Amino acid sequence: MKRLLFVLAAALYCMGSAATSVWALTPGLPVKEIRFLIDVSSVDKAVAAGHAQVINKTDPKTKGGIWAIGQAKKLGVKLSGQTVVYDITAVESTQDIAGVEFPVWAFVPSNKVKGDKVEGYKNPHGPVPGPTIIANEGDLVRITMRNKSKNNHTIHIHGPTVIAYDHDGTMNVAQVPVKVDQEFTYEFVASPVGTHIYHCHVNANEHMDMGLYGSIIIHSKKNEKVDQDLLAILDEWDSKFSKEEGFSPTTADQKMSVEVGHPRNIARMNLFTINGNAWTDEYPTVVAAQQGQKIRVRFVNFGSWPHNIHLHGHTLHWVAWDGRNVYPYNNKITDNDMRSDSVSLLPGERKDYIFEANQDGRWVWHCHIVPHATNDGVYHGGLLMAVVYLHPKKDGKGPYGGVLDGSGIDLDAYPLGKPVKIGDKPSDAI
Amino acid sequence: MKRLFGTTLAISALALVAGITAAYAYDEVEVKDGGKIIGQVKFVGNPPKFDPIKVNKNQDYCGNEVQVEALIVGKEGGVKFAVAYLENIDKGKAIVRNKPADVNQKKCIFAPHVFTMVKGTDLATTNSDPVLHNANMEMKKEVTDGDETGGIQMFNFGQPKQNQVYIKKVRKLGQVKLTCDSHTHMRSYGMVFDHPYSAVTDESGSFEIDNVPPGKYTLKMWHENWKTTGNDEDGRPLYGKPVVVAKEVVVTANGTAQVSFDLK
Repeated sequence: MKRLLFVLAAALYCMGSAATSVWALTPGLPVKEIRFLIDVSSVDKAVAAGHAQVINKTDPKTKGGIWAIGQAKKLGVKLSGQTVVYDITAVESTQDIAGVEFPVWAFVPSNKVKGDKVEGYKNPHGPVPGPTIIANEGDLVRITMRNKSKNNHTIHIHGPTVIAYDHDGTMNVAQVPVKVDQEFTYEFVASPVGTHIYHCHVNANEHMDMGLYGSIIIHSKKNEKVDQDLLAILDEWDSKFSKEEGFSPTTADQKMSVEVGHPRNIARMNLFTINGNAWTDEYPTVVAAQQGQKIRVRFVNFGSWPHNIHLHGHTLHWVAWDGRNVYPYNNKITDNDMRSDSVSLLPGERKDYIFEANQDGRWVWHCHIVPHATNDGVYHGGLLMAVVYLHPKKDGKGPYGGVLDGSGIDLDAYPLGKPVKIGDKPSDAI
Repeated sequence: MKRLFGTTLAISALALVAGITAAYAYDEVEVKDGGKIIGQVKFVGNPPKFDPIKVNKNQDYCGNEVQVEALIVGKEGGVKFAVAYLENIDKGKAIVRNKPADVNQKKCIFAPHVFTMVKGTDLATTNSDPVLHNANMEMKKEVTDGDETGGIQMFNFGQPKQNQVYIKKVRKLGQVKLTCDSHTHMRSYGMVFDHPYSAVTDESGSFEIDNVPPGKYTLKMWHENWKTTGNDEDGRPLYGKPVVVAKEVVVTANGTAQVSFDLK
């Protein structure tokens, strides 16, 4: 049997739109569906996904929004003249992590809510993480959060600083929690540029663990031009809180606050996800690269554990930390940058890296706290991705060829190195 | 909602329409006025005769050969080790989670030869023999994939000690195959569902599935196949693709539905 890690050549479609399944693909055994990282390259991506609406004027609807506009002027943050609007609903749902079904609470784009159902998700995936809020520097960002779940929620805007205190989302410090069938409108001016996050701040230990979070990306025209701009959100899960182990968080006798998010329980995490997907051979997470590309990957750690994600065969330029450039990086990678081959990430941290796709073949990118690269202790799984190189078609059309010509899988595109008997010549001897 | 097996396993088996409240692939509910499905799997005609399978290791304990279990036909044509299961059921009786499915390596065969279980429950594999066994389980992509089609390895562990038990949660849906690499004649097949509505036929070919919510269902019968296509490198016979037959069944409140399947 061929394990996917080595069969990945399989997968390759598309580039340029790495997060969207523009090209149909029928992968062979054992791949059922490739999971790409989230494409956060522009506001257009959020608009195209139906998550965002852009209004061509600064159009506040709240006093908090007006305060933020005033604060932007005071701080010298230039308004873009645009408003980006997101409509999000808090729901209860389920998510399949490597075959384990979990109850989750999640933020979903409101246009996915049809009556009392949420549509448009398929497992294994489900709705965690929530939709990515993408804006340009100086945009007024409006997020309306509707609560259709049984618990109270808020949205904390974590990272952006041009925001009124009462739009910060902390329970009973900034605002009254939003009850079922209520809504709250958050407005802030997009700044600083970079990778930020949002999450529920009601009983945050419990609600974040249940899945109420997502990312905020703020772009600038000064940003270094990259060929792909991708997002990888890390999280951990404890199968104790899955359906199969009898966990049902909405029943009256379930004492949530002493279970989910309790310090003694976060030590039991046994499943690990990138953008809600634990690596399995059927559902691998892939970065599809083309030679010469410059690829930005924004890492976010939404879990409770540290991780260290090692990329084989490449050099990573560390360019931003918590939405601020890392000295001396100044929007163009150089050899003077902070460089590494691993991404170490504490809970809540965001770190952005740019790497040049100057290799070929297949490479893995995995947590080097290696038990995190398993599914409940079974290697390989969890925090694992594959970087796979695509080549232009021989006829020059499309990005498939060499690996995949659009009609199927070329398993021989990157043959495996083969061992030989001790003393024999290498299998690829010249 | 989701559905279990078939050619669309990849998408439909795992696809799930999430609700604003949690909705699983299978929801456990209280079943009122549940009905029963009983039936029989029968072999039509004279069953073929099989040569025993040669044992290649530990013959002093295991013996020199074992009987073929691919097709076991009883006195009145009943076929043992076929699986009957519902395909379209997204809610029903509770899943028994505190009792694992048991497979015992005893006298150098897996017993039972065919089993069913529910995803997320435990499989307990025991070595009752004083010789080394190992349990190597793989999951097929399709329930109709046979011996010659590979799958994804679920686990592979050695059991050198007698009475050693290995317990493992099975978290994938589909057809699994257990082999012992030490004794290549050994085979066991399992079917993993996300619901508890399945049964393996007994010596008379009979099965019973109880406490089914009244409604219309597709009942499927799976059998591993017995028609040889050749032999593997150890001389063990290879068989064709598993046979799957579907029938519609209507279960009435507190009623008993009868369904039979023929193999030939």
